[in-house]
Amino acid sequence: MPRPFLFPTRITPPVLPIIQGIVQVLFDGIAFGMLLFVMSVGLSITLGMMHFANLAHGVFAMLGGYVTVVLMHKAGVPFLETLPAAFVIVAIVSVPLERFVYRRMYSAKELDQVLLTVGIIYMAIAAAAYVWGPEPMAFALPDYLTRYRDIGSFSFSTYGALLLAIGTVITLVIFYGLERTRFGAMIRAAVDDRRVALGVGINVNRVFTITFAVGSGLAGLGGALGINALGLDPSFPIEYLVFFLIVVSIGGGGTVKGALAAALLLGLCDTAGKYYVPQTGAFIIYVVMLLVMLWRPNGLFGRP
Amino acid sequence: MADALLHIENVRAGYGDAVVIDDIGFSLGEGESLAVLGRNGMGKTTLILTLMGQTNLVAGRMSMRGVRFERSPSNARVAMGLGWAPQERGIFASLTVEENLAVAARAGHWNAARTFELFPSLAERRRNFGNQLSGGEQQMLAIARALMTNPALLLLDEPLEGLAPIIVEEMTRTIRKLAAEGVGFILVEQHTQLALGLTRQAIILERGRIVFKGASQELIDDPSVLVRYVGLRGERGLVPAAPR
Ligand SMILES: Nc1ncnc2c1ncn2[C@@H]1O[C@H](COP(=O)(O)OP(=O)(O)OP(=O)(O)O)[C@@H](O)[C@H]1O
Ligand SMILES: [Mg+2]
Repeated sequence: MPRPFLFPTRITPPVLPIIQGIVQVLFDGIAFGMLLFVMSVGLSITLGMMHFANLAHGVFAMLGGYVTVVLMHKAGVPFLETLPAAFVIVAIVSVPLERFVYRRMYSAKELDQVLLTVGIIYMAIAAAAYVWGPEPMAFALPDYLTRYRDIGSFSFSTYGALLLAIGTVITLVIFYGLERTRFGAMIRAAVDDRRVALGVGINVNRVFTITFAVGSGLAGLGGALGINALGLDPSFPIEYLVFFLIVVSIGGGGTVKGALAAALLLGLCDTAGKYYVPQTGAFIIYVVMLLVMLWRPNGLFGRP
Repeated sequence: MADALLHIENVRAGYGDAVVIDDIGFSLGEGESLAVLGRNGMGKTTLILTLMGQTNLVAGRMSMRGVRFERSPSNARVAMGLGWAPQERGIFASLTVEENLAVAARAGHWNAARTFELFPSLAERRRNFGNQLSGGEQQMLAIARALMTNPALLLLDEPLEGLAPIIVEEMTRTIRKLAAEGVGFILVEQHTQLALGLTRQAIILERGRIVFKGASQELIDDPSVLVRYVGLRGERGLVPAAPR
């Protein structure tokens, strides 16, 4: 499924098309980056903590999308009100998966972890196709989110503004939680040195389960928020896997700052590429990723 | 001795398939202290890690106040009363001094205020991150963090290693102070004489087995055993043994 432009651009002719373009790309790119951050920050933290390669992270994002669509279509719940449900339901679903499946594999070889999580992806794809059908879900944003707001000679989509607003709030909450609370310090301690964390009495398993659930919930929220930009069909977890992996590898596992920087970079490059060089635009992100990885093999904020 | 503070017997443990310590057994009462001596690589740290549940335990029993714990995870052992200050210190680099203490905190006598009283130089650094501390400060923080768990038994793995003499003195005073307050401890040390002066009992490990078990005073009175198993390097930290 070819991915549409994130936000159909609507350039009003008269003035300064270059600046307009730049502003448009910045706005859309940052909004898209925020969306990617919300979707992948959980993967970054859990990877840093358990060194578990959860390639199936996108399954949670997809599930969030389906929660939203089903609630809207079957129960008539307004879009915005489905978002907390997408977060909560996905968070809850993720707990037994972590407890009973993933936990056995934390000390397994990476290849085994990859095989397991790829297997989960394909099971999820099959299950989603069975329940909701293989076709992309029909989805329409509420009217007020399809409008554009003109400021001077620039015009901004309200949907982009929503992504920015929610992304900013979540970023602030995550930073506060991680940097200013005791629970956040426990997460950082477990990322720094899991054995010592256990040895000073931190119940790393419990801390991890909660972190995993919140991270999965955020992926679900991102999946729900992003249906308009990313589409929603059963192949979602494979289609966007590379985005999550780019965010985590460019950012460096276990750092929220890194995930944020990487997600914004990815959002900006992807948007700029599709805007300025539509033919090869989708390719740009891989070039950027390659360059960053050559420059800093452990990611922007990764530890050696 | 079901009601000893710590009782272990026939303990055999190592890493993966390799057995490093074998047939280890001893008992410690409440508030008692034990020196663990031996040359490099003889298994001292492995013994401590085994108590913390971080090695592969092949055989043996371990109990705390009569409660078996050899199958419990590390964090449960901390809840039972083991407080660990690792040899490599293990300070969490991305946590401040205060946070390093807070994550370990359990209700009891020791809280941040009291540990800062014990280590005033840490108090000045409370907002610094773990990776901004000197070696001596890291060691103090490792002990302070172990105290925050309000342990019945502290496991100190070479707390004096690599410290400047003046800090060694300060740490020695601190350990003595803790002992006087009734905190039991196991002290792994290369500064043999110092360790013997601080403890009531001692064991010597030689290739993972106990070759001496007895009163610390015995080794002070008759150093021939020490010379045989630990060598003269123990004299490095020669300091008059404290009167007990
Ligand atoms: N993680 C590990 N994996 C495999 N073998 C190990 C590991 N750690 C230690 N060993 C081996 O176990 C033996 C005992 O090591 P240990 O660290 O217990 O010695 P130690 O008495 O504490 O020495 P030191 O005085 O140098 O701290 C050594 O031969 C060492 O090589
Ligand atoms: Mg050692």
